[in-house]
Order: sequence, then C-alpha cells, then structure tokens
Amino acid sequence: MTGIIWKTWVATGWILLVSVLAAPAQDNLTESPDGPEAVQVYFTKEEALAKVFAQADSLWVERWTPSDAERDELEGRLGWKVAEDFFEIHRAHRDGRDLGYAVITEEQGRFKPITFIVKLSKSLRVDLVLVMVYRESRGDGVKRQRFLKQFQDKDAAEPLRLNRDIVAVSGATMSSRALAAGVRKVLAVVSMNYTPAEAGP
Amino acid sequence: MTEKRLKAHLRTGHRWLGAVSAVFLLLAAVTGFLLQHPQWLGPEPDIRLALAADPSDPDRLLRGTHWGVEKSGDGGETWTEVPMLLPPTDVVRILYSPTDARVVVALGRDALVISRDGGTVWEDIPVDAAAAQPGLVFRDVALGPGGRLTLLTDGGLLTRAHDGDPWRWVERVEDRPGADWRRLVHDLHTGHLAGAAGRKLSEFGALALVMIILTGMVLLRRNGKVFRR
Repeated sequence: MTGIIWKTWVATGWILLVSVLAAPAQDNLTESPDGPEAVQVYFTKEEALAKVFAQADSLWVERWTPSDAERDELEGRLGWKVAEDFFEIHRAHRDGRDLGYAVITEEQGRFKPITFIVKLSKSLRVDLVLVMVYRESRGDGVKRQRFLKQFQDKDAAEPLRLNRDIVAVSGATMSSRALAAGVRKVLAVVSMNYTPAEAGP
Repeated sequence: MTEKRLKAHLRTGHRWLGAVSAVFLLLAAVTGFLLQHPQWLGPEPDIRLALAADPSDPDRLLRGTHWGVEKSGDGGETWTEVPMLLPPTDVVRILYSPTDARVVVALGRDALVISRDGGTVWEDIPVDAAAAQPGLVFRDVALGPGGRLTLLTDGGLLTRAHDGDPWRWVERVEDRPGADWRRLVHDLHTGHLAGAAGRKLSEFGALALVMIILTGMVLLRRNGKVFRR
C-alpha cells in the first residue's frame, strides 16, 4: 500500500514539474507598451490560405468596399465603428465545388495588432481560425487550437461574448477579446455578402 | 503517567491536530487554485454599476454592468444588452454630453467607449500607452462641452480637450503609501511575482499540498502500522 502511494506521489510530481517547465509565458500583467516587439509569424498569407483551403484547385479574392448604407448596416450589426475601408474575401473551389470563405484580419491586442485568418464553411459557419502573426511578448496562448476551437461552428447570429460564449485564455484576456471581436466581424462581413449554402459533399 | 502513555497521548494529539489543520490547508490550497482559474467557478455575476437617462427622453436608460452596457426604452421595466464588438467590462460610469444627447460615453475598468448616435454604434477612445501606463485602472470620467474628457485613474487625472487630441496628465499620483507592499504581498501569494512560471509554480505547490494531505489521510486511516514505525 505504502509503495503504491509513494509511486503515485513520484509520478504526480514528475507530471506537475514537467507541466510547470513547459508552461509558456502568458502574463500580460507585466506587458510593457515600450517593450521589445516579439513578432512571431506562425503562418504567412500563402501558408495560411494553403492550410484553410487544403484541397483547393483554384483560389481567388473578392474585394468588398462597403457603400455608406452597407457600412451603416455592418456597424449596426456589430454595434461598433468599422475602421477598414474594404475587406478581401478569399474563395476557393475544388472540382467546381465551393470550399467556403476565408478572411485575413487584424485586431488590436493589448498593445499590438494580432493577424489571423478566419475560414468559414459555405454554410457561413466558422470552420477554422489560425493566428498568423502575434506581436506582443506575452499572451500568445491564443494561438492554441484549444482556445480557437471554441469558435468552430459559430455563425453570425452568435454574440461571441468573452467569458460567456468564449472562455478567454488565462493571462491573455485582451488577446482573447481581440480574436473574438475579429471572428465576429468576419462573420458579419461574409454574411452580408453571401447567402449560406446547404452543407454538402 | 508513564513515559510510554505520555508518548501515546502526544502521538494521538499530534495526529488529530494534523488532521484538523489538514482540512484548513486543503481548503486554502483548493480555493487558491480556483482563484487562479476563475472560469472554473462559472460565469461571473452580472453586477449593475452605473445608470444614465437620455436627457431628451427620460424613459430611455443605459445601465453599466460587469459585462458592458444594457439599454431600456421603457423607464427600466425591461432591459436588453447593447451589442458591442469590444464591450468594456465593469462599466462604472455612463454620461450623456451636456450639449448633444446623441453623444454618450461609457467608462469601463480599463476602456473608454463613445457613441455618437445615442448608443447604437460605439467606438473605443484610445487612452494612448504613452500617456497611460500598463495596468492603469479607470475610476471615473467627466464629459464637458465640446467633447472635453477628464479621466480619473489610479495613476492620477488625465484630460483631453477635443477628439483626436493627445491625453495629458493634469495630476500624477506617483507614490501611494503602502501600495508597493500590498502589491508585493499579492504577487508573492499568487506567484505573479515570477510571471507565468511563478503562477504555475504556485499551482504546483497547491496541488502538492493537496497530495500531501490526501496521502496523509490514507496513512492515517491505516492507523497503527505506519505510526508505530
């Protein structure tokens, strides 16, 4: 009996110690606006598009420059002023089959912008979110799929409220907030331009 | 009382005191661990913190909450959340402009937002990092004619005359007596002093404490054999 307890102890100790040593720096309490920029490029534009449209045989971009009325509608949907002059919506086909939509966007983190791609299915639900460039020295836990998978299958009707609909990464609240806002904006932009298609083969 | 009996009494007393203190230690370790992961405690309560009435229609109210801003069009009978892309949290003040009722500002703990259409479309008012400092907490705001904003923060008083103007410090609170010590004690207790690794280490300590107590309880249940060794 004592032997089992002792072995459990040692095993637990090792697991905890390894998890502590493997813990990434995620403390934005001490982030400094003047600190050195720590640019982490996880995906270039080409890599991100290749990843989200892995099976595509044709890729193209459709640019949407909202009119004043469209801008008002978009801002009304989001409850927020939109700074972008235009949006680029990436499309892809494979054997004539629509693979959905992808938008590369940027949102302000605590001090610096985060660049990420949001891929929507043709039924206008989130398929995949990938952080492409992270520029702050701390808080990059938002790049993990454990956090990003929470957006999967969400559509434009979802409010994506932080810590209610989407659980923020501990120690990276501002970055989590930026990602949630960006995904919501992309959902609104795409749903204003395209109608959802039936999900099919 | 023989020496043998005294030792037996001491052993029993030590064992029970240990068990009682273990309960407190277990409580401290588990609650400390949960404080590091507040999301495991469920959604935060929706606290109401501020209220403002539209000067042009007193039935139209805005209310500041932990999650952002809520609106009512019937004098407070029913409320709905004001959708915002980046809502401020802990909204402690909502103010309508004294000269234009369409202009309204809402102040959160670390964000200031403005609407120029009575509360439908909002935007952030950046309090630029050069003027402010990381971790600065906003306490109150005053909105004057012509869009003049004065912001009370933990670090002092900031002001901005017009839209787009830079913020400048009117009054700076450099040192708050005792603040450093309080911060140090807090950071030592939570492990924040050593950043993310420190937090993980404090979690490790809490889990280790839980393990010590649980295995100790198992040994205590085995009673005689272990304690007589």
